[in-house]
Amino acid sequence: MAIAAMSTLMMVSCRKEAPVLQNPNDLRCKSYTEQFQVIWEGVDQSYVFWERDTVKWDTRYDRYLPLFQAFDARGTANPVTLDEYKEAWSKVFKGLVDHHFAAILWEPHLKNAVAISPGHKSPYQTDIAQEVSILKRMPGISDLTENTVPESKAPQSWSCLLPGKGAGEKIAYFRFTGFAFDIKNQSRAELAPLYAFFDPDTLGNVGDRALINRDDVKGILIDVRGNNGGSFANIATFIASLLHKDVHIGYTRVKEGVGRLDYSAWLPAVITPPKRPIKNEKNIVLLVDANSMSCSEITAVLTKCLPNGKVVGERTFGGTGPLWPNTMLHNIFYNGCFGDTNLFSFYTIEGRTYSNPDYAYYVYTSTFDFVDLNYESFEGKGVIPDIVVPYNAQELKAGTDKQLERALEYLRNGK
Amino acid sequence: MINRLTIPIVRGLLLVWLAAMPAVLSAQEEVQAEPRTRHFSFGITAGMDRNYHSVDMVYMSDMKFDKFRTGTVFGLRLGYAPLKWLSINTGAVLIQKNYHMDHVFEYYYLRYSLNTTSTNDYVNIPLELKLSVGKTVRLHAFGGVFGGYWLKGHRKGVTYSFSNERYYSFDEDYEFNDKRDNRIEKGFTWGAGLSGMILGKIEVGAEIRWYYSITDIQKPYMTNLNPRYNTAVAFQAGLSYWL
Repeated sequence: MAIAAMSTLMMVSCRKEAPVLQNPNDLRCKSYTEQFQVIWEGVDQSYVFWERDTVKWDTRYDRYLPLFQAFDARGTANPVTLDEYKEAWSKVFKGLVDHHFAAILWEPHLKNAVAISPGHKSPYQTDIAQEVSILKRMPGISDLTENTVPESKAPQSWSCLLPGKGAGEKIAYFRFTGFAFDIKNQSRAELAPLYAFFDPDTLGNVGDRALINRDDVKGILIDVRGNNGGSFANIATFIASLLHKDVHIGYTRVKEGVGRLDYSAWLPAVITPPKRPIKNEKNIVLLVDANSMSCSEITAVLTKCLPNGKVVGERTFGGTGPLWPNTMLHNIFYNGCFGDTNLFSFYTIEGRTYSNPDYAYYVYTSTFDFVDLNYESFEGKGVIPDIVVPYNAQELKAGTDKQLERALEYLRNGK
Repeated sequence: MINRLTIPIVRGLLLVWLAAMPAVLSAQEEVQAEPRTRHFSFGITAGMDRNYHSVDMVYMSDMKFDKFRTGTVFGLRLGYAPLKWLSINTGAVLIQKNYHMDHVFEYYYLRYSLNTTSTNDYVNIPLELKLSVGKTVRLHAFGGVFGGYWLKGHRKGVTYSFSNERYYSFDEDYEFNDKRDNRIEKGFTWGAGLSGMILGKIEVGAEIRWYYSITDIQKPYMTNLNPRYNTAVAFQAGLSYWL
């Protein structure tokens, strides 16, 4: 009896209570203050980089809660402007290391949203049109294929053959602006350079007509400058077909709880080739710049793992945490993207159109923390090429692409 | 390490204790002389424990921690008995505070089953008062405090990679995180046991004991910290030599 009483007393008095936490996927906010509190807690629980991040998140709460409370106190007589709203949220997220991070925040009175991306600070815009223009003028270029896209947009991918070292030798070149190839749903015209370069089937097997399988092709150049990433499945399907065996490129982990540092074990990140990959191994160069993001950067890490691979160009963007934009995965691993993906929704009832009445939000953030084989993270830092060639806007404008030239030089001379 | 050493020791001690009971019961005269005239004792103890890892899973309804998980216990003990019915005890105990997490969920109509078993070695140092009654077989009740240190962690299990669309098993030593992991623990210990004397100076006993930690296994590194506590219930048998 005494022991039981003692136990009960201790249990009541000595241990801390769990905080009241709610799933940030399930909440509706009715004020600026609620929106701030819910998003702050959501990031607190769902952000995968807390071990690396230097932002003092608890301090952000103390500092900015009064700001959002003041917004609520202003009422309709002195409404909050979109600029004020954006500035406040920019301060909240400033400095987060996740370079995928984007918060889309709906203000129901203004019927408008702001998007905050604290990591998106590239030093320049890649001039893809100029770089492609220089490519097209290169001596000896052949078999150039551009994709055609609906709605008269500019082409997004190119493949061609460039001269190799010896007479008749070639280098197969492929450039694309996003890892967004979808063989099942896109037309052959949209994917023309992909088909020319890989001649793939739906499983990523390389066809006999592929440029990369030609006997006279001695090197492969993949240009992901200005490539903003996309679907990891594109790496697993197409880039993987350049390999002959599994390549272990690093590790990933998720969070397994609501604590900032509740991490899972590290899982191997392995790229597996299809059953029929490229016929013969050839030297591969990946050309990158400061706007090579996400899947482009994972491809750079993969290329660095290959004995026949080299990365040329400039330090990449620094957004390497793979993510699932679908918020359903948040309800499994309790980290990554959360919120309302339909926050812009307008709907009509009995002839009247309504917009989203809530202070809705969607937070786009990495699901996984990714490191290389040495457990080095590239988040916020980028991948440093094996051969560094800085971007030079003036030379480009004058018609010289030094990065492309250096990549070709390596493939021709092996150094 | 603890498992390999302790299980045979526990078995041995239990056998010794069971074998000693007839001797204890038939040696009343000898028992009555001990340990009342002696003050200091030292000994060893071993057994098993069942740990309960207390964590509120808030909205994470598909993650579940087992109620209890088995571990092993091995320890050295020191005692001082100023009175026939009262003694002060301390020692050092290697104890495992293990737990297991199941994570079962459905994603696009497919069911996934993941799990992690966490094995944690602690050294606990109790300081307690023990009240004893009886002659041939003595009954004990004790209570006190303990301090501890989290020596080592290990985790193994199965998880799933959505990137590679396959399951992976893992089996690795846990790398302590200085920001998060609170390796110092303190708490209360209490329990009850029985013992008897053999060969004049050797006390053979068994006990059930609670180690109730009041320190979170995490440091207070964030405001909305979801606390985690260990409660281990140990079943131990042991031998003490009275000086």
